Amino acid sequence: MLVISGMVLTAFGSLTLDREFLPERFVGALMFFFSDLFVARQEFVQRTVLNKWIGLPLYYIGQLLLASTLRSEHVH
Amino acid sequence: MSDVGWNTCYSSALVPEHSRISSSSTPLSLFLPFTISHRSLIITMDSVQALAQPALEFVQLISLAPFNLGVQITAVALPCLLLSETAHSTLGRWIFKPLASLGFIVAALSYIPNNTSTFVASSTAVVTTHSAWAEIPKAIASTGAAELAKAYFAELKHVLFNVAPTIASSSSGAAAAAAAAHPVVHSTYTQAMMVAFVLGFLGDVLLIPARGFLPGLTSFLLGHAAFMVAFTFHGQDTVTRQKGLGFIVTMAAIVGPWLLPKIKNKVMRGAVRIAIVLFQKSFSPHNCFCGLCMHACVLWIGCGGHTVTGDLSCHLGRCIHVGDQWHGLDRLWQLDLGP
Repeated sequence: MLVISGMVLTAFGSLTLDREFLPERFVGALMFFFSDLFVARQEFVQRTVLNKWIGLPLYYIGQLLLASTLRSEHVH
Repeated sequence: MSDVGWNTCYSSALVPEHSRISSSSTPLSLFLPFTISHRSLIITMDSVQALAQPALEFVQLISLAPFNLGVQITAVALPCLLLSETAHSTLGRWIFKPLASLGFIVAALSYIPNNTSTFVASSTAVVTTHSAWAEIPKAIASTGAAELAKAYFAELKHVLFNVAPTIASSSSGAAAAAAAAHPVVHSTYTQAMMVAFVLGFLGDVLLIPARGFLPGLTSFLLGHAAFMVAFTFHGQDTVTRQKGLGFIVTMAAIVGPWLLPKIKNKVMRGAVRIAIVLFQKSFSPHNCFCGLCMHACVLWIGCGGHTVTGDLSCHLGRCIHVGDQWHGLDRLWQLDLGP
């Protein structure tokens, strides 16, 4: 969680410095963050398949959103 | 659609003509409930729209289009993985989890702009890249399923064997030599992001079997750290980062009390309590950004030290809490984590 918190922090920090404004980085990091919460819910609150049905799509869509930020990176 | 346009359209669509006229020309009691309910609905919808508008404007900039090969792989594998999780199918996890994770690596590689003077331009990308889901059936209809599958395979091969090595070569120690051979040099952001995706993939795969717990955990942590490196290298704005800190602190304040009563282990409960006290003490205008950040992180360690191990061991399917026994955590943290 320390690392994921740092990741969200730096994602926030990079939000307005984009050469091309891309909210994907921010939203993707948040999705990562919330997917972890559903894992925590699965572990400590309630074991239900619903956590996976919400958490896994959050994780994978978050990853895809983060991947899509690479399109703004120019090849020198 | 503009606010005015949307409201006009919405009002005329939902409030029947006769009800709007009747409210002034017929006994009010006859139509009052109907009119009020629609007016209330319109007001509510307007309020919701007004509240959601900034978020919608923000999110509409997000685009996964074109639906590149990686997005399509994950889009297919993810539902299958979810079904496998629901059915507790180990075979399904072994098939679809790596596939879904491969999807985001391929997606990332596909998104990297190709310099056609140095890369072999992919002729198959035209067939396999779509701007809308509806185009996929059309592509199947026009090329045939076998041809489309062949194109997908060729594109996957191109991405993995032509595009990926350019990132590896430019991030290696012989970066200068590689740069001389290939004038294309990827940014540190791209390289760090690709490292993060690969580590995420490895973490996902390693966490499927029980014995891969510690390597998987390490891989995942390094992957998250690689994301942090990428974001940091991309550039940081102090103001927005402080907003992020506010978000994390708020979330910690919400999640801490929610999670704390659920954590049975005394050591972890104590850690969370200490962290919350530190957090409360630090929450004053006199404290600097770093101090607040550190304490927020301490709180998250307290809440999440337990969570993250559960996360990384149970993440995507592998539970460390089997029956009444904990596996892995005690070895990792040297703690007695009995139930």
